[in-house]
Amino acid sequence: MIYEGFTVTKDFTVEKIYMDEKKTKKQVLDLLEKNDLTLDIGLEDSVGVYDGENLIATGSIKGNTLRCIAIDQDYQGTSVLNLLMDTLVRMQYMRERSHLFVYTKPTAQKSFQFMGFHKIEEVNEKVILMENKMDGIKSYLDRLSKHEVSGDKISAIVMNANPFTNGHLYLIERASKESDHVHVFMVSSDISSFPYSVRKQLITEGTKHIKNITLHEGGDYIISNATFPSYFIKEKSEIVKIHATLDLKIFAKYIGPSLGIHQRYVGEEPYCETTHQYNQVMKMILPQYGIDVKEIARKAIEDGTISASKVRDFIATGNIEKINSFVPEATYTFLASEEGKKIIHKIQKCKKRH
Amino acid sequence: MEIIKTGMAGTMESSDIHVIIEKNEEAGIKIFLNSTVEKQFGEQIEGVILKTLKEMDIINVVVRAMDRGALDCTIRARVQSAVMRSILKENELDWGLL
Amino acid sequence: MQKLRRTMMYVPGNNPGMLTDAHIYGADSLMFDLEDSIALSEKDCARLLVYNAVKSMDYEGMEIVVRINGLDSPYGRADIEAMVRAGVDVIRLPKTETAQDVTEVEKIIEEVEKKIEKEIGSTKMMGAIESPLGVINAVEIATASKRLMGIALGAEDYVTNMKTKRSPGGIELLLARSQILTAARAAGIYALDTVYSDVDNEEGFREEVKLIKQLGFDGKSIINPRQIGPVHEIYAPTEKEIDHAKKVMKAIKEANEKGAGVISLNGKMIDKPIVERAERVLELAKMSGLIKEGE
Repeated sequence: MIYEGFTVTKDFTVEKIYMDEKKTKKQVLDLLEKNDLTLDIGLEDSVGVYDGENLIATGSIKGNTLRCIAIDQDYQGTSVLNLLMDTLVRMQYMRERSHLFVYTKPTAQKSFQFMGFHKIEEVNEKVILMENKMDGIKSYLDRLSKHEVSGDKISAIVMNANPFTNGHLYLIERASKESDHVHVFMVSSDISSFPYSVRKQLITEGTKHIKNITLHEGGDYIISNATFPSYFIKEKSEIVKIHATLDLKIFAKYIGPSLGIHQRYVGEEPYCETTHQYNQVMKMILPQYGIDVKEIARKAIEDGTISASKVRDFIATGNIEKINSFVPEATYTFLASEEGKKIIHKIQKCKKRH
Repeated sequence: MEIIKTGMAGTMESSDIHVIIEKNEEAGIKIFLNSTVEKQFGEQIEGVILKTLKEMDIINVVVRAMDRGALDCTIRARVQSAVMRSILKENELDWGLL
Repeated sequence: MQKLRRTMMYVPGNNPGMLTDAHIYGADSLMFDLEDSIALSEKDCARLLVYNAVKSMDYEGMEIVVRINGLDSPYGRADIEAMVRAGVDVIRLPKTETAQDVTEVEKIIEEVEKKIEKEIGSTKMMGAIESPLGVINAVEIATASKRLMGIALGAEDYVTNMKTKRSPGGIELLLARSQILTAARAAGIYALDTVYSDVDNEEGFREEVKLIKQLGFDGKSIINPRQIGPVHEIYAPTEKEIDHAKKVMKAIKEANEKGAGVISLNGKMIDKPIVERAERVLELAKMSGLIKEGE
């Protein structure tokens, strides 16, 4: 069967790109490099637009973000961008994602505006985060602000809780004692070894004795694939810093004010370089917007300080009983359940960072 | 007619319009239009979208549209397709609705 | 006067720009495609786009043909319903292999015509023969329905089935072309040739058009507006043919005025085939801009 199309305007073809094909990958890398871009790690799917044999545009998707979008100089301002974006948006739609984000250079802002994207935030002329919903962040903030609690000391904590430990609990309890109210944001991107539904369940159960807190789904604007992609993949330190700045600016400028937040609590991070850097950036950015940062030393027990990564290490090496003193009862009980065993098995099979 | 899932139709190519239909958590029809000809024709495009939705008996919905200079018949077609997809009936057209 | 169908231009059904512009190029018929040029995930969108375009666009009387998906797909039935409702002139069936393929589609067309109170039989049909079985059954296909206005050859699948591929001279299509053409003539309907995919090769295209004109085809399916000119040029009658046709028409007029039963020109009797040929030549000449209306 051949394609008996009209070939007046459509001389370009779109094809899926397999990065394990060396020749194709090189073409992609060259095109990205010409556009001053690099290839992201862990892309879900990539496509190329070809003029005959030549790769003239490329783009990828990862979660609800569009990535690594580049167009050959000679084809910019033509219908190639339309074709590429159309393909990427369609690929996302097939995966039932319609709220999309693009993470790009500020110089590309106009082009993406034309493609229906709206600016959320920008970092030092280096990166810009845009979304395809005109009212995206606004409606998120509107929903958040319905949970506003008045008080002199309103605090926030953002946690992945992969899984929920006594360290997390300690941080929440400490904030709870020192504040009128605490908003806890649970990172909801499903990239961690414990799925969001489980992490949420364990936080909820582990904190039900605390009265002055509200749990929020982190959503797309807090440590997500869009706002802080390097949380989920190993990145170079300079990139981490830019990503962290973007995430924290969004928190400070939009999320904080919508709930009247005065301070953000965070646990000291001696192990993970990415999180450590994130905390450093936090201490620089948030005060500029009138939000204090309270960095709390890790809770220590006989076996050392508590961290979720240690818990996962114990799981990976099969020392399940050692976990007992690290986690609240709900977390421990969960690990003994059928569902918990499945996750243990998964962690033991492939040891991940987060 | 109830929106079941987000429906999308159309392309970003010239003469087309890209339409996304979402459930509106609040009551009513909300249209976000992004157009190359917004200033001159924005109202007319919104009018066609509204009329098409009304004919299809769609009441609570968010429409996100990106227009590339589409004619009225194209706007109608894309809105109809996006709605049909959002009610999971893309291949069993109910001609009473169109 | 018979309608000219020298060029039937494919237009992908999901491209609004092409759907709304295609008539300006001057092809004799437009064929909006819901089949091979549309991805499976876009069948629904193309159907509604063509439906709305046909309903509301002014194609200035140009013949609108729509190639639907087969009834063996989940889209065929919905395509037919939408296109009959839209009021297209002709529904083109893909991969027609038997008379039953035609009658099955006809049945659905008729159901819809009844439902919407449209004149029964007003939606014409056309069959595309694209396989060896279809070629063998060309006569039964061509005579399967009164709605059939023509049959066409679709060569790409056919040559693959025949374990060969297309060549410049087209020797591999000789039987299929002859068979389809003969069947069409026997049934008194149109015969249209397959597409020529290499849009950039005008020389090769012209050779093929000359060949199919000589065989006797009414015209050709085309895939690009650039192919319209050469076909119309090659199908244009010569000055000598036009002059002769004009004389034939004059002789008829004279004979009618005199009330003569037998019409003759230069001592030769003018019978029905000669009249038909003359009419066709004049229509072609008019469409090719060689003579003006009323001349």
